[in-house]
Amino acid sequence: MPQLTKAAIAGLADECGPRVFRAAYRLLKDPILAEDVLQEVFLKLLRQPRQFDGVKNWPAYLTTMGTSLAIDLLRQRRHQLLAEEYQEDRQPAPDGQTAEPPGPMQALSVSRDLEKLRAALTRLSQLECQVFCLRHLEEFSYKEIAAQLDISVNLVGVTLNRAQSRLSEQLTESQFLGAVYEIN
Amino acid sequence: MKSTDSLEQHVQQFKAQQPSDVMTQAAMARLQARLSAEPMAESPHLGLWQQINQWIKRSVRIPTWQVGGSLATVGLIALLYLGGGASHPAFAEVVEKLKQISTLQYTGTMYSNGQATMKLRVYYQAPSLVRTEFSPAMDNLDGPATINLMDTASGKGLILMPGPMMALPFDFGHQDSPEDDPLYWLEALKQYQGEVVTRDGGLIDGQATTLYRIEQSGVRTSIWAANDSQWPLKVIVTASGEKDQEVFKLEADLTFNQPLSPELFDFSAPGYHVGQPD
Repeated sequence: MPQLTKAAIAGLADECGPRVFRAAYRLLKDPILAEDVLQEVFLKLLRQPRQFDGVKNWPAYLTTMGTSLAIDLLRQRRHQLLAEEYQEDRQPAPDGQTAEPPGPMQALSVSRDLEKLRAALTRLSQLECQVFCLRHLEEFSYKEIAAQLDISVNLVGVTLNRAQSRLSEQLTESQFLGAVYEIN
Repeated sequence: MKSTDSLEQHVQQFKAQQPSDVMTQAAMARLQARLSAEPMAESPHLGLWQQINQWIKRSVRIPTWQVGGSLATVGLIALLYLGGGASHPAFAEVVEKLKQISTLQYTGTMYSNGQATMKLRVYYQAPSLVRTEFSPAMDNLDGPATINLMDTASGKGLILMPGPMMALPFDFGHQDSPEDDPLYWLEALKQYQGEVVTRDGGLIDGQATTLYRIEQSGVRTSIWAANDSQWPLKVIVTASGEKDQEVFKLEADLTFNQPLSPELFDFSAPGYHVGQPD
């Protein structure tokens, strides 16, 4: 594509925006945050157009950018939640109250599974998380991932394998840890 | 339930999450409104300083390739790099030794931005076979390593994953960019004609050593060779990014010319299920 213009960016937004939004939404499960990611991606094009001169595959590039920003937000949110939990742990619990989550149990179970995966993703390295999300959530090919992250296809394979191993390990552990929540 | 099944189940649940059409359309409408209201930044041509900055960033891709293409070749190429235009007399003797390499093996630690990221064990069989065993993680050195086999002569590679017993072939032929082509870097490094810094290297394993240091495109290679035999004992490869921040480092202890089992370089991957990347 020749030099980016406002019209060209608007066209890219039409073409690729929904995919970027979906990618961010899946990771964050928060439409407001996902929209923040969407806007951030395209505003970067407006603000630093020269930075994107060499882009050849815009859908892949923008989805990768959106995924990376969403991962950053996911990590930030995880840190905030951990900090809040830490604060709550320090507060004395009111008498007779337990931390029983509300809602239908089945939905709760799925929701809990998704949160487990989100939490596990935040424990991966940035590269592992990016490669995993681009491969399994966005279904990019190894070559596309390698091109977008500026790494070799070989490293994509190695990193993906490491990410899967670590996630499998964490999810298995969390199943055991979560056994107390199972319904009899 | 197997852990891989559990992961697959979680991923499917994850993928099933979709924003509604209404939600997406509203977000897109707000995006277009924002883009319309926001001024377009000026896009001046890059100044000299920015060009230099970009050149530095490109240079730092050298170790990026080495990490990605084959960690094995980091130290190896660093050594062959030294085999180019040697100028220091003692250094020339080290280069002569390096030309006699039939095999090389080393264990090393990779660092990124000051943090150890992985351990690796590397085997090189002249003239073209490289095997690298990557630790699964710094906090889990005992787990199954991921193994990377490369034949730089044919441009064929194979990733072995002992956990699921999967093997994944890959090519790194001439179609790839220079940064991804091991032979490109090998040839480029052989042309090195720069200065060599020489110092007393102190004792390593009780042997007095000399330190030789070369630097090119932001990549610094330091090699310690025994004064008695001139065989290199240790190599450190570092690369710096902006503000001289060290972004990459490999530290490795070297062993030369020990016989290596052909099984280490067996591309038939017995017992593995061989898949395709895509």
